[in-house]
Amino acid sequence: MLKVKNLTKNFPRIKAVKNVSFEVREGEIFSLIGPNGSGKTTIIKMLTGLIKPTEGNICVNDIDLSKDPVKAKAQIGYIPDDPFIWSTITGFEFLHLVGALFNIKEKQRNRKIPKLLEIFNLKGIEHSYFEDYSRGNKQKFTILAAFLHDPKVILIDEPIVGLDPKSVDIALEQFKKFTKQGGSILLVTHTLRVAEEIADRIGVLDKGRLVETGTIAELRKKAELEENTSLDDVYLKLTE
Amino acid sequence: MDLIIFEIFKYQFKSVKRYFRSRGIAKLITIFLFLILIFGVGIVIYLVTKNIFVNLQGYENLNIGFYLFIFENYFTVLFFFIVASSIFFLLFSLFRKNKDNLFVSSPNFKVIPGYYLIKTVLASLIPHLALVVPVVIGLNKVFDLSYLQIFFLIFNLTVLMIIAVIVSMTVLLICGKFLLAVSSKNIKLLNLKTLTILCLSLIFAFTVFTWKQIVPSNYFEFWGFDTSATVEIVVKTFGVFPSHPTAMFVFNTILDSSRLMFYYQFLQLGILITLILIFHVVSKWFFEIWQVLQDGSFVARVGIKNKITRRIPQILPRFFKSQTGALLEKEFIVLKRNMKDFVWLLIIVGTWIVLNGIIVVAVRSLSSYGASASNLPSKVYVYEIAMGVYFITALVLRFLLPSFSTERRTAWILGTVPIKLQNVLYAKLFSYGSFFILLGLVITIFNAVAFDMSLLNSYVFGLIFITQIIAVSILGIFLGIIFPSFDSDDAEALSTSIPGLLFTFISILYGGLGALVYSGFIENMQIGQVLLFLFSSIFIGVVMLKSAPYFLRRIEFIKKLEA
Ligand SMILES: Nc1ncnc2c1ncn2[C@@H]1O[C@H](COP(=O)(O)OP(=O)(O)OP(=O)(O)O)[C@@H](O)[C@H]1O
Ligand SMILES: [Mg+2]
Repeated sequence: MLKVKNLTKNFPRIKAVKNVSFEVREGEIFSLIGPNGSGKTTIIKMLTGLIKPTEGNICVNDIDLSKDPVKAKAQIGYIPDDPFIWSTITGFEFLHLVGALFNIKEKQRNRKIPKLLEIFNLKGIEHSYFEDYSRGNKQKFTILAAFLHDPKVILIDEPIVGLDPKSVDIALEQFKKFTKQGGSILLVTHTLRVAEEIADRIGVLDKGRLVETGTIAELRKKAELEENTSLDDVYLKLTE
Repeated sequence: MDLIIFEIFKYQFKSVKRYFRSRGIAKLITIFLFLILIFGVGIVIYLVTKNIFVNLQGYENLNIGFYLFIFENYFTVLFFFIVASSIFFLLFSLFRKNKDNLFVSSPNFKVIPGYYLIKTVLASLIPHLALVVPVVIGLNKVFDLSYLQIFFLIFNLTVLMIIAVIVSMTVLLICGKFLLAVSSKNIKLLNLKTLTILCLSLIFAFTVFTWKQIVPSNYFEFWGFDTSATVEIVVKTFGVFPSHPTAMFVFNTILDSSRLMFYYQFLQLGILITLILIFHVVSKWFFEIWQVLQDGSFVARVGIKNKITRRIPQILPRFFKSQTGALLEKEFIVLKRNMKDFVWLLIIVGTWIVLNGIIVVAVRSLSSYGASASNLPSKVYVYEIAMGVYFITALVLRFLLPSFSTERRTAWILGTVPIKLQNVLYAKLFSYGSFFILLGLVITIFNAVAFDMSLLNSYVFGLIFITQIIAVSILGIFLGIIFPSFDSDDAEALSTSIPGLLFTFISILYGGLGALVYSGFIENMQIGQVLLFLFSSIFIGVVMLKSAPYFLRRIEFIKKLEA
């Protein structure tokens, strides 16, 4: 569903991403983990088209992102690490705006948005300005916006930062449901508990390089650790 | 308390030094261009001052009291200008949400009003000197002052500026305290909106008062009267304004009357000290006002019912049900709800309309006195075009030029939805551009009626003016995407960058060119020039729009850390 080949990004001062290739299949949650500054956000931003890769190739549902960005973007949902939205529009307006920009008819939006609001129990606050929301609530609106247009792939950058425990469970539940219906998720995080809980396969990123990929069991083997060792230990060993 | 302020400024000085460390040359060039711009303004003011007084000295039967009248006018306007701009500067920096959280929560929060006071004075210093020093030099050229007099003139005018800043801060805090005092537990009247409206209406009331006070005094009564009688009239008219001692001081300087000079200098210092004492009292209110202004309009918690602050559910887009329509409505909504932008818009457009009104009144009263009325108006239209483009430049500089750069943190929305970025550009261009065009039409019709322009004349006027508005808008947004800047999220800071200055220069020259073409039309019916001007403007506009997608594809909405 999502194919990434030889992705490289050089910033003026640093090579943030070095020759990274991976694939996320249909119905799969692929998780990239890695320390702060290892290039996770940079990869996600290249996949959304916000940053231009120095080199490499990105295909979404067999559409080349650099060749036909509009068509490719229509297949992607994106949940950013910093849920920043125009401070004087309301959550409700935001969802409608994003829906309209994804070419969803008003009738459909009117049907879908109330349902989405129920997921996180946001009913009652949807008509206040973003600047008045707490961080967690902002984040919830960005999560909902990503599901609005039934994307094929959802790219998630640090999904649970700022969410309360109950909301974390709800969010992860949503992600799982989405892949069950055939969607693919790339989830980038350094909260290993999340990766351990929902990822089908995991890639370990270190200093811009994809060090290993595989299921947890495979990673354990590669790190030459015993069964039942936690992902934390695997991670620490691999990013040493 | 004072030591802390000193420490903060030391820190700020360091951050200025750090600012120049990266891309220092580019930044130095920016500042250099800025200085040139200010210098240019200074030269114009100098020439105007000199010419006014050299000309006035040519009239033998005009008594010298008229000079006082001119000083009073200039300093009243200057004072008012500083007060109004400082009020808005302070309104939107002093109470900005989440901005001074660390400062306010520190034990030194009491120094914040004083700190902002000094900061505002320092920030106003350069533009102020640009407006004041050329006047002093011009006066020196005409009246041959001594060094001591020059020094005291500049000193006096600087104190006037400090007084203006203290007045604006005091007015702001009093307004805030007033709204706080009339609020009850259930009805909260103090928020950024009401505070802005209160300040705006005070400024408006003061403008009306000043107008009523000044305009009825008849220019032509100054002929023939003896000086002391004229001075009496002027003092009666202007005695109520805080700038009065300054005007008297300047007047007595050119009369070489040291005794009165010192009298008015001390009077002014007395006013300053009184104001500082008042400020000391009202600055104690800062903290509670700041706290209340941090409150949002609605509590983001489930289950709270608050009918007053609840907004009517709004489906976006409401009117234009397409992708570009949605973008367009987003621009409108964001502009409409941003108090700061809105006030900026109001200030620029308001100044423009007031200036236009003054010109109409002046030209009409001059022609009613028969002062070479025959050839005056045609020059005036030409001037109106140049001035109009100048104001449009200010609007585009503030709103269109930075409009892509200010989307840095929201680019994750605009950049990931399946639209072409040029549609965002069209939406931005159209939302602001249509408003500017509307303004241009209003001004054109207003002038056509006020000056009794012929149909053909007003038609060509409108055609040139509207074409210029469109071209300048396109140029602004185009330069904004060729040179996007993500160093700041603040539209004002983004306007004062190299691309901003470049835009200002090009646009003002272009405005001048249009005025020239129009004057060629009025005086010699040169229609060919007009057509050439219109077509080349449209051509260049189209070229810019056509090449925009190329530049848009290159933009990455991220801060680039330096190599
Ligand atoms: N706009 C930029 N300009 C220059 N360098 C950048 C830029 N953005 C990121 N970098 C650098 O690229 C590297 C990777 O950053 P990135 O944000 O992708 O890390 P991350 O893995 O998401 O970290 P975290 O876990 O903290 O979110 C870092 O060294 C960072 O300093
Ligand atoms: Mg990150």
